[in-house]
Amino acid sequence: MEDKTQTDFFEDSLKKFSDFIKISFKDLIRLTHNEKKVFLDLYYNRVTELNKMQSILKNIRNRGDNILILGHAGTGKSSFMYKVFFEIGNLPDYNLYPLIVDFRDGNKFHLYKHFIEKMEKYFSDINCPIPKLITNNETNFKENISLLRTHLANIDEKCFTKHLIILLDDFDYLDEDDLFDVLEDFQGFGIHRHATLVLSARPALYTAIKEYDNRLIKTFTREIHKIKLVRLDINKLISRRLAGIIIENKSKSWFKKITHKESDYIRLLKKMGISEINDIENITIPFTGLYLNFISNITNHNNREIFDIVHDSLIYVRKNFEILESISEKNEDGETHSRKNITKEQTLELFYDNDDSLFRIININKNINKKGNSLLFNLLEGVKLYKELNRTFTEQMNFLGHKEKEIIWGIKKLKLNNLISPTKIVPNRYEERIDLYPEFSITDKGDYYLTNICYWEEYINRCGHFGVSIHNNLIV
Amino acid sequence: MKKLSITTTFELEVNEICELFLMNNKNCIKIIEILISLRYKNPISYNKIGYIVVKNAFVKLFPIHKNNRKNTSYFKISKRQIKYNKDNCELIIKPISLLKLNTYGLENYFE
Repeated sequence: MEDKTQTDFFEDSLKKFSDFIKISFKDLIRLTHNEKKVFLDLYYNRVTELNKMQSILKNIRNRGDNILILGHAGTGKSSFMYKVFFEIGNLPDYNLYPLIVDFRDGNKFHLYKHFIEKMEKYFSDINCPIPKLITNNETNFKENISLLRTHLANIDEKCFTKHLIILLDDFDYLDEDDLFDVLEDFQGFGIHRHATLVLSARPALYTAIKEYDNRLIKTFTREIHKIKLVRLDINKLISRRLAGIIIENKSKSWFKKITHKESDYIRLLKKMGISEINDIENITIPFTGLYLNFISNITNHNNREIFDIVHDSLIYVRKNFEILESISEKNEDGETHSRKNITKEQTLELFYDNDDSLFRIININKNINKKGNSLLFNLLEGVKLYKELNRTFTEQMNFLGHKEKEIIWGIKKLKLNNLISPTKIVPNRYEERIDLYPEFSITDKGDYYLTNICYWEEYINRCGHFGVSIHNNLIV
Repeated sequence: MKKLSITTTFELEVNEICELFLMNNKNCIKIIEILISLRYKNPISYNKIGYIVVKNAFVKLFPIHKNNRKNTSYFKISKRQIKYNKDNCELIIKPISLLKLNTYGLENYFE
């Protein structure tokens, strides 16, 4: 019975299927084009975090505590920020005034310009308009920021009918040189009793602020409320995102709103026995548990990459539905579902040999030295073992036959592919107190390559053997 | 025991402004200049702070004989004292190379 419904699900043409999945897995903010209603309908999970945020916001008035939202790349920080931004509108009793400042388009001037305009609107909304603001251009926006700060400081207490909430998003993408300047500019607002800063940050940015200057530490990392966004369960993530778009009824036609086309999927969905939004979790994904584990590790739990890899895999399953071996697995509730087993060989065919795939598995054993050892593999091991790229690390690499120039190149390459990540951001001009040796930590993705993929026979056949492992050749 | 010089972020700011003045070849400073710079950078915290508070903090950071005199309007700052203050500070300080004149509104002051 299960197989039959799944066959129905995959019966449409391949291209249509691909387009549909692409739309389903798009970035939620871009997908909904800032349309509040559609966004709120499609947003899911994070109930615990939202409740925590709501309880903080309830008591925040007249206290001005700042909030930090912490999470790894692709855990959904931006979506969470937008959710909070839209949700505040539904809480009229709290008397809050949210404004969002994001670095999405990558232009520092735009960031300031939008912020100044929004603040101007805030002041006029609370009946205290700011009188002498200069027209914004790329040289004088700092003066305007200073004028805004002074105006905020001089406003009478009685005028603050609404508590200001400034949401700072995507600051991880700021240049290392500009980062602390921008944060210092916004810090001036966070000190006010009637204003709250909400900053979203990755762990690297958090550590950088923590070790930078006591004034910034106080505002952004010490005397704050912290909300940590944990990684979502991949199974729920995929099924709910797919179903969220598919499920439509007369009042909520998301697919039509997003694509301006009528959707064919209601018919398919009815065949699967789903007509209500509460049935979302009943959708079965044709991947085995092991394959889902592979997806979550190889992508570093990054939602954007997860969606890429799932897109390719779903199309692969759709294409080879008859050929693939079926396995029945039990889910959390004890119900048995049939899944399609994608083998290691097929995975590599899909993501290593295939140039068209959105996600690629890289060749770690490409650079082999004279001794027959793989540079990137040994560097990954070294970073996992030593964390700090100190003298012992370099000596160990030299012992395995890697030269210093190669090590510098290799570290850059690993960083680029997200196999290792720096433990903190260090600005270029940060000469005096710079640590003697740079520190890195291995990511889940790097660890998966190191402990899993490099030992796959299929991978060795394609990329060659890594040579000698560091553990058998440690300098004592 | 180490003698602490900078203990609060307010004193950190005062020391930083003095450092900016010294970097721009001025070894004398008026208290009002510090006050204006502080208010430019952070009006929300420092709008209600007066002359005496800043003067007391300054004299603590620069205990030079000239600064303790009764009728003086120009106070002396020295490179050595700034270095001493920073060495004995237990707070985390931003490095000199990241100090900027425009954060304190001083970019036109030294022209």
